[in-house]
This record gives sequence, structure tokens and C-alpha cells, in this order.
Amino acid sequence: MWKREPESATTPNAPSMPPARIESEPVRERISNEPGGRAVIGPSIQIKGELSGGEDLLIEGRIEGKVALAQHAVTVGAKGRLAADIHARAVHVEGEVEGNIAAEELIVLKKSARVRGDLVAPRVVIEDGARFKGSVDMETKRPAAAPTTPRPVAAEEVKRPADAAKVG
Amino acid sequence: MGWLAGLRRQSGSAAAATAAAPEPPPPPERHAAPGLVQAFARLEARPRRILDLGPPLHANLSRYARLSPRIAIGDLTGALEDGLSPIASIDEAFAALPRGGLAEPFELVLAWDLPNHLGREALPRLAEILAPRCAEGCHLHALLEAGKTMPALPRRYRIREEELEQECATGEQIASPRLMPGELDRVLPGFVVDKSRLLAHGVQEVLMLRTDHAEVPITRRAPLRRELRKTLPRGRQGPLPPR
Repeated sequence: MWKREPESATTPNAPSMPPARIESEPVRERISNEPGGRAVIGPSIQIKGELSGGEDLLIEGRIEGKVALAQHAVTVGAKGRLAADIHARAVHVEGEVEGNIAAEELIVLKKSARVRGDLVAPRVVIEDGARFKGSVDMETKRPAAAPTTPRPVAAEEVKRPADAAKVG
Repeated sequence: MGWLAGLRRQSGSAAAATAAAPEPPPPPERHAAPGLVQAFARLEARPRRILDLGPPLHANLSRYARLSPRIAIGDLTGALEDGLSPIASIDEAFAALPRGGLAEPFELVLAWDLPNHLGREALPRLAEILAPRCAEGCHLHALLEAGKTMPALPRRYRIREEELEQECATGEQIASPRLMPGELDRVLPGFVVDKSRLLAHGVQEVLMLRTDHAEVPITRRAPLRRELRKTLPRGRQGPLPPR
């Protein structure tokens, strides 16, 4: 659906974006794949509607509606402005989000983040300096396919009570 | 004595620079918070939802996560720092909270030093919005400035074990409203002062209880206190001073 940059044109896992209303002219040039396999929505893009897909996504533009990438990571870049609910495997926010965020594994609000809504994830990280208003619910169950091997714990990680006990 | 003259000149120029520049914020301080320890001890017995009216700080969120997986952040501090009026700050903070549904009431509310900055006029509004969202017996923890002055902006408090580390974004001082614990019963209808302690650094730590029986005089609140003691785990009843 989208024109790819040359280096990503041969990527086997092409994104399957659902129909969305896009309110910007240079869309095809601005939605691209990074070399690491992450799709990028550029700062000049505005989307209204539901966005879903099959790869990780970096959002630097504006989205109103819903972002659903349950198996993948979503990053709201510093220039990203969302009035949308987000559901993903992992969500990192550096920009602004007004809406609820649900993640299967992890939500990270970086210090530049401004978020208003509810966060639902087994692990939530809010860096000092981040602006956040809303609820945090870490009581969700981990997905069945979640890895059982211990993973490194981030320095600024907030853990569920059970996890906290494990770490000490 | 040339070196002394040079020192004087340096001191003079430094003083002039200080006068021109805004007051620098003081370094962070740590103080005991026995009331907060007591409130957390109660929550360990029955973990429930926590509301922090201050900003989201990693140290505090880590502490809450050990008690409850459900936390709400109001960030009135940020709203006041942005220049919103006290009442607008309260309205904005709670406008963000109903998204997840408030079917489960709060069992602990942390107001830090915000009552000082909200003032007598806005506190009834806070109580009006907050009281219906709190469970009967919910603790409201607050730190009242007992001195004549206080920082122009709310402090940020980080929980460090059984102490609080306080940090202020500005060194500027303003007049303190000098709220008295007994006065809180009146300006925060629906809550009654259960414990009040004047701490060594001149701050009155207050632990209030949400109750529908707020009209009960403070001298007849023994049943409330007994109920509170029942919820405390064994060995943690020490911090409760006898009345």
C-alpha cells in the first residue's frame, strides 16, 4: 500500500495497514521502513482512524483514533502527537498521548513524555520528568507465550508486587 | 591584606549576582514520615488502589507497586507549576482519572504539601471530588507547613524507605497559609483528622480518615481508630500513638 524506501523494498514482512484516512500529501515518502525493520510515520503525517499492522512502528506524526499492533512494539517519538488508544506488545512514549495505553509486556514513559490516560501493562516504567495523569494498572496477566527466562531489569523499572519480591 | 580586599571584592560581586539571579532551589532534604509509614503498613494488610496527587516519580511508583498494582496519578503539582489556578488544577487532575473507571475506590491518597498551595478556598472542591472516590476509612496523608513561609511551588517528595526526600524547584518563598490540623476537618468535608504530628523540621504531618461520620467530634472517634487498628498487621501497631 505504501511506497517503500529502496533499502526496505525487499523486506519480506511488509506491513498490512488497514484503511485509514490520511490528511497529508507526501504520505508515501513519509511512511517508510527504517533499516532495522521498523515502520515510521513521519512528522508531517496525520491519520484519523484505526491503525494496525505486522511490524514495529515509530510514530512521529499525528494520529487520532486507535493504534493496534498487539504483537509488535510502538514508539511514539518526541514529535509524535496521538489522540488515540494504543494496544501493542510494548509501548515507548517520548511525545504526547491522550488516550489509554495497553501493552502485553511493557510501557515506558520517557522523561519527555506527556500522557493523559490509563496505562495497563504487567510492567510500567515512568521516568522522572515525564508528565502523566491517569491510572496505572499492573495487574494484567502475562501472555501465555511470554518468555520464562529472566530478563534484565531496567534501572527505572516499576514492577508488579510479585516481580518486586523476586528481585528483592 | 590585599588578599582580604580581593576576597571582599569577590564576595561583593557574588552578592550582587545573587541579588540579580532568582533564588536557587535548596538542596534535597530527608525527613522522617511516621504517618506515611503507618498508612503503608495498613495498606500492606489489604492492598488497594492508591492515588498520588503529586507528580509521577519513579521512587514513589516503585514503592506503591510493592503494595498495590493499581495506582492513579493526579499531578496537581504539575498543574500548579503550569500556572493553573488551584481549582482548575483540581478539576484537570480528576478529569484525567475516570477513564479507567473508578469502580474500585481509593484506600490511600497522598496529598503531600499540596493543601498548603491549594489553600482554604480550593480544598472544599478537592474534598467534593475526592470523597466519593474514596473508600470508608481511606487514609489521606498531607504535610502542612507550620512556618510563616513556604516554597512558592509545591515540593516533590520521594519515598526513601521510612523517610521522605523533599526537593523544591525554586528557592522563592511565599507566605504559608498555616493550615491547622483541626481546620482540615472543616475545609475537607468527608475526612477527619486521625493523627497529627509536628515533625522536627517544622512540618505538621497529618493522617486523615475518609468517613461518612465526619460530623462526629474528634473526641468521639475512638471506634474509627479501633477499626483502623484492626486492619493493621501484627507487630505494626506500634506507630499508633494512644489518644
